[in-house]
Amino acid sequence: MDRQLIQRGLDRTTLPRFLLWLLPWLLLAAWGGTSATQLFRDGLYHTNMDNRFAFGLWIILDLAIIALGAGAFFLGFMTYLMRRHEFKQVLNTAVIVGFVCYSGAIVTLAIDVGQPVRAWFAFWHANVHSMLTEVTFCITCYLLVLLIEYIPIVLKNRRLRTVPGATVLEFNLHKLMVVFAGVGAFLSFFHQGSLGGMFGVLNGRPFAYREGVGIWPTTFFLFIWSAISAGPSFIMLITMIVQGVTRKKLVDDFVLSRLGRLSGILLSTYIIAKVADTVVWIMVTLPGKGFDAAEFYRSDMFGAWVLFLELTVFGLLPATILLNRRRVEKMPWLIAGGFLTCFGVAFNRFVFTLQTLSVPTMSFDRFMIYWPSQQEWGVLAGVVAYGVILYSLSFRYLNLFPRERELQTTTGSN
Amino acid sequence: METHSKATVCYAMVIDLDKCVGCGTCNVACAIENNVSVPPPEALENRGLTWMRTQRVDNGKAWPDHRTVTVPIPCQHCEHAPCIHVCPVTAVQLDESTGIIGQIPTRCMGCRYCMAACPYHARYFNWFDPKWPEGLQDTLNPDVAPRMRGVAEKCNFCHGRLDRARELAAAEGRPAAEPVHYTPACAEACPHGAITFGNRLEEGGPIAALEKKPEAFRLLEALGTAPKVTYLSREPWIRRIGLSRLDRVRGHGDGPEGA
Amino acid sequence: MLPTAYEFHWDTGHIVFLGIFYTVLAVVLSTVVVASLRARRDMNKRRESDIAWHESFAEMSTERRTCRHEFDGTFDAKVCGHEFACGNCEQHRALAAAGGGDETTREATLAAAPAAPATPPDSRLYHRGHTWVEARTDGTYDVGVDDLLRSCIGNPDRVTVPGVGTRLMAGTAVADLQRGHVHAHITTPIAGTVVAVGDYEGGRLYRLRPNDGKARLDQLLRATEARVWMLRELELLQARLTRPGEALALADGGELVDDLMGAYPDADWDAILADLCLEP
Repeated sequence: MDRQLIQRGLDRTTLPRFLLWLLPWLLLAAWGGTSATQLFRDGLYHTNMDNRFAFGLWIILDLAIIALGAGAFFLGFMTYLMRRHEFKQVLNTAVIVGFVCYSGAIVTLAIDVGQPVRAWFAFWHANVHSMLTEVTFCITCYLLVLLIEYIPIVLKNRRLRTVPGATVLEFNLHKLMVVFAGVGAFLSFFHQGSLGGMFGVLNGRPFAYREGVGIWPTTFFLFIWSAISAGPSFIMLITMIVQGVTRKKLVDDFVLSRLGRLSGILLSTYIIAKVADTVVWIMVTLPGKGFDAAEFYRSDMFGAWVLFLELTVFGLLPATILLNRRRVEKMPWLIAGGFLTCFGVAFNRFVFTLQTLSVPTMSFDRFMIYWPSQQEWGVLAGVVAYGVILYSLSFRYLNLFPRERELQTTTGSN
Repeated sequence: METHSKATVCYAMVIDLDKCVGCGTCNVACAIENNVSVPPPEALENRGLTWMRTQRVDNGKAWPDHRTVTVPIPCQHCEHAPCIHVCPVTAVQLDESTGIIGQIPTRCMGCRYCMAACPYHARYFNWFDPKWPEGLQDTLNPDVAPRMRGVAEKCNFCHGRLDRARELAAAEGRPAAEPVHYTPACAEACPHGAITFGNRLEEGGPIAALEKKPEAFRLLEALGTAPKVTYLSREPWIRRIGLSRLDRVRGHGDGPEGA
Repeated sequence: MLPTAYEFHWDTGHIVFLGIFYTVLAVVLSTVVVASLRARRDMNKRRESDIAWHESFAEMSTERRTCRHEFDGTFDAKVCGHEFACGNCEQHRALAAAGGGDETTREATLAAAPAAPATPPDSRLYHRGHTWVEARTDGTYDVGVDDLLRSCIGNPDRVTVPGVGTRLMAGTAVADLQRGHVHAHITTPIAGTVVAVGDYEGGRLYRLRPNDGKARLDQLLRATEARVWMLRELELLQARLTRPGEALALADGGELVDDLMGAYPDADWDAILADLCLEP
């Protein structure tokens, strides 16, 4: 039965070995499920968040995975609208990774809010001036788009494509994919941006507050920019990890190099914008609010190294690696550059969430730190495990890499 | 954003820190008036519920120059409130006819974005199911609905008392447009009369006069939030606690650092 | 979200924000509806097999999509751009009118072959799914599987063919050769109604009568082309069955080795047969 579901000609491991691979992830997912049950049943006191740390690990997780999932819309945009067909080789992976990231983020948000049953109020009583409303609307719509983009991939399963209507529907959906790619890019532009806007509009929190460009603060644009520079890198890393775990060649190396270079080009421009933004923030915004940047970096936890790390080790360094045409052809450089880029965007989200809440506002406030509880880690583990399981199932039963079969035969699959 | 120039009522509060001895009566009176529930004893330090935090602040100096002051911090009801525009479900609203920033607990979905937005940390989250120790339920105020688990809450200038004052005015046949006077629980309970509450727009009223006094200051004025809670003190060092850190270093307010 | 919601205001913010939201929703949903309606239309027009073939063709490796005029020596390297529907190909029509490709080149290719497999009979036309068609004088056609596929599968455990009277559409899988858990789904090279069922003797599967009297044969390979094609198929097969450092001869003195499945039980026959039968 299992073999009948696997695409012909794709070499997949035996069912027992596959289940053995899933086992640790299922255990992590069970930890996540237990934590979620406790939180839904008893309330959020199982977390280590408090009245000062209103946001915690989960918001960092949401922001980070949504930024990393940007590869889904950006590569869809590059493939269908910019006609860069080489990215078709990784587009299925990008769609599934995107789906995992967005659905994971929505589940985490549902656990994070105090009254999950009222989640629909965000639509019904929408406050159109709130960045969070923009985020909620766009993420929900975009998850719908990702689901529609996922369907054709599923319909091409060996068993499903013998159903007469399946291929016909898949064919017709695929013909209109450019529409979904366009809508996806539009929606993603707004929610990646409004996630940044969420912090930039906090006029009572000088660490996060930024000057406005039009109706949005600069963080709106910086978050889009950093997300699309990390997105291709993340898809590149995921593809490499899948190649490593399965010990198979799945895509042409030049595609990985191009993903890396795409990240490099975007990241280098992002870093310039980020530096300019930081300078304006230190020289203009903060003094205007009566604050001095130095005081935000005076604690044990968040020293000036935070800013330094973000701009150089996670910015300038990967940008110079990935911009170099010769380096992106060498796998170790590509991995290093891609990893630093992805870690950098997650670090940026971490800083915006946690340091904003850590640093004092009133002169008599204390600097505070927070460490997540077992249940908070459990939800994070559950979301990661959910992603790995869904991707593993998709990799086993669906044809994710169009070039896989050819690469197996040409490189000698023995 | 909003200008309520046409409004005739804008409630505001003035707290004289020189009169405050830090007894915490305002805090208790507020909790009783507004049915603020009592978190279990094992709750983390920062998970309590109060609409009127009383914070002890010192001047950072060693004895014999050591001085302390207690600062009661209710919601500052900012004119440019950072919490209103962030709420995704429109659960935070400015009542233009009173200037009061209200929180709608039955609409709040508990995302806590407003809490992250508030620089005064004047918002509190219901981490637990609302419970009162044995016997304390008997003191619950029937005019104020208790809040459920998972929503944010904060001071609303005793809106329940405002409603009662309006009902009384209507019963006495006074026109609805006429401003009503009422006193929040904290102002009523303060044994030293440190808290004055009233209509800021009232000609010759006490609030307008107090707000103009040279010893008046507000918390973090440089942020531009324009709080409706004003503090008074004749002590320069106390007046400086309202300043942001950079302004303290720059020596805004009164005298040089360490005055 | 709706004007009926409590406290809804018709202000700029609401109009712009919700206007964009409903536009996006309308675009997404109407695109899904359009795709579904088109799918239903295709189903009604019985285009499933065309679409399935279109999809499988796109997934085939380039070496399997070789143009037939590479076999007759007209082109050095050319990938078919018409999904093997030679009747739709301008170049093919021009070449066919001019009398086909260069005989000497083809002969040279054949001469260079290491071991020539069974020579396809000239009386037959060949389909890329390893089936053949043989015209009979009464206007019917015999359809069977070619020697390469037969030698792969050896003695099938079960041969399923469509019953007499079944109407077959070109390009659809109609017969099934099963050995163990492995299936070869045979695609019919031409359309028509089954008039007789074969006994798998010499690969014969069934006899067809074309529905409108005349069969479409223009996309099928002539025996001269099929010779080169078969040789290439054999090379591909050989590459898949060879373990490193092992020499292998599938053909010996013009005769294909019988029962390759029995000889190479470890090979991924599921995939090999799918490739040979042009299945996805």
